[in-house]
Amino acid sequence: MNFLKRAYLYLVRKKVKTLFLFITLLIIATMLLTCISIQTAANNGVVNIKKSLRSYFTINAKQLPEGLNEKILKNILSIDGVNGEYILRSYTKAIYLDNNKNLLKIKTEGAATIPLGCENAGKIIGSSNSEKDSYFIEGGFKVIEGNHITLDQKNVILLHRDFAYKNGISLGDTIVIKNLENPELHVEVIVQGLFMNTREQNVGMTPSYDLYENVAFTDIVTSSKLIFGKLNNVFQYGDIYVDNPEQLDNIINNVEAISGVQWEKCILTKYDQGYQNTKRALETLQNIVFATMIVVMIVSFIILVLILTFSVRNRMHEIGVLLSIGMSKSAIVLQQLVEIFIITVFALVISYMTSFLLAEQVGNSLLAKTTKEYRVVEQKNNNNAVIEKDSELEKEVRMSHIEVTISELDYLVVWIVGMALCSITTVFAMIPIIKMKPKNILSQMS
Amino acid sequence: MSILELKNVGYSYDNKRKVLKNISISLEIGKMYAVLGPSGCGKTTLLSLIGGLDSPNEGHILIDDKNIEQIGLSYHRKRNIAFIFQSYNLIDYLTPKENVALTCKLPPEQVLQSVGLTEEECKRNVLKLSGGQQQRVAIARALAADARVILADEPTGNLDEDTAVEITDMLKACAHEMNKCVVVVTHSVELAKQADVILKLKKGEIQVLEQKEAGR
Repeated sequence: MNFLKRAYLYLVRKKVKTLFLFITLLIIATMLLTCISIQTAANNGVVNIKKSLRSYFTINAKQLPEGLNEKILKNILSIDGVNGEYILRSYTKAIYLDNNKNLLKIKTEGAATIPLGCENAGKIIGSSNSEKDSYFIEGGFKVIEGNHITLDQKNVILLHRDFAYKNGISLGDTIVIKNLENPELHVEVIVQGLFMNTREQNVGMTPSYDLYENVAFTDIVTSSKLIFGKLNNVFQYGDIYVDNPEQLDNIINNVEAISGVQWEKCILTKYDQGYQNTKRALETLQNIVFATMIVVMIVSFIILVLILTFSVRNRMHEIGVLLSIGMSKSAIVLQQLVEIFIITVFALVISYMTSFLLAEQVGNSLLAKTTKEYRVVEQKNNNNAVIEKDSELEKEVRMSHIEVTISELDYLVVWIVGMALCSITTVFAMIPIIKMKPKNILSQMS
Repeated sequence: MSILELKNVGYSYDNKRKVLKNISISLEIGKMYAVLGPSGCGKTTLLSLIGGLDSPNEGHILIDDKNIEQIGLSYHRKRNIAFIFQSYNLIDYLTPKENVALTCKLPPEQVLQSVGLTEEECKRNVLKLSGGQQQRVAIARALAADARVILADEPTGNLDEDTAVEITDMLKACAHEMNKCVVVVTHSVELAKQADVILKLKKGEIQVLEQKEAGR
């Protein structure tokens, strides 16, 4: 009878021991495969967040009297790494008039102050894409009639619903907005949409022109005319998106190298906190998983050695008998190896399913971590000077899910590691027996 | 005809206590040898050395005039020796038939029948057999090995009188009818009386107590 048949007979007839070892190996294989899968998913996650968590930098050219123009924008967009997506913004205060040049009423109740000259003024936000403005993304604003403003539009405006209703204005009506500080600059605009706020404004020290009802959005051509008196797209702020957040610093350096702009008067700020936080979360996850994997391997090795040593000692009788009938030590070791291999194969096959079920649960619970994206909010005084920059939590990007799959490579790695671990531990456990003389084994038996 | 020869064999545990001293003896095919002696005198050690489970500290053991250490102890055990133990030493997860098949030289079914086991008994778990039946399986395993030398260490030690007699008869048959060299270590005087040669171990030395003539 060869060692293969003996191994098979042992496994099928010693069911309890076989099952115990199978469950132990299944747990070890599942944990290893789970760790490796989560590790791979976290690695992929880092790659994916570069694309999904959009990173950008903001150019604040508020202090430039001439603003930034289309030519400079074109130069910026041509820099390697800039993905072509951008939002242009400008801010000013304007008086609202109807098309008969009558002053329109603004909301003053609740305002902390009504600055002199601002009795009929509101904040005007010129935007190349009003849908992406922070008021709409984080501020709770929502267009309820009409459409958002886009880059290709001109001479259009979005008004607060309450302001429109108060002043009898509807979609399609024309109003005039006049620069508060330079009344010569005025623009006729068509009401393209009405919006409302879904959250109550925390008024605090808010001046009247900053009350939600008094805020309006225009296209970038309108704001260019209103602020700079220019017909082409001149803007104060630009949010420029990049392909790879790791390249932000390099890109900003390249922007500052563009000639024709007094960059010392501008502030360039990178916004990749969401990416960095999420990347840190994923890297932390990777480190945790890696450390867990090492611990699992070491502990598995120790447990397997203990179990197999105990098992081999329990089979001392059998080993002694086999030696006495002339079986070689190598044949006895081979039988043990075959037994452990057969159980390991079954455990590895089933571990694919068990780790598939477990990996995603464990991975997501480990990654139940919030990344926060911070934006710089400007606080302006009456003279439009920036008095304070505050970090304010505007957006929470909750990263609670990672895509965990078990790749063929991961599975192969676990197979190799599993088989190697079992072989080494079996031989390790057999060493004391192999070193003994058959007579001593038989003495221990008796 | 001499098959095994011990020449000046000595053995001591941990190089201290000398258990066997200067043992020189010749063992022949077709004879049954009984080795008597008090407990701890080295009977089992002698059997272990003959069976290649250990090596002597002094002297050599020859089989067919070849040193067993030179031919390889494992090979010697596999080719030349079959053991029968007091506690049978069967492998518990194998059936009698599978236990006998371990040695693999002769068809297990025939050998088991020759020792008086039925087909049904051959398929049972060995632990469900009686002591006598288990010892028969052990003898069958030894026979199936087709070894020329059968070494039995207290083969009837755990058996009742009637079964002991049956086992003794089987061992005798192995020697006389199957032309094996059977060496039996025993405390049983009755068994020893059945042997062709009675050896006694005392203080590490061996002496022939009784030797029956050919034809017995």
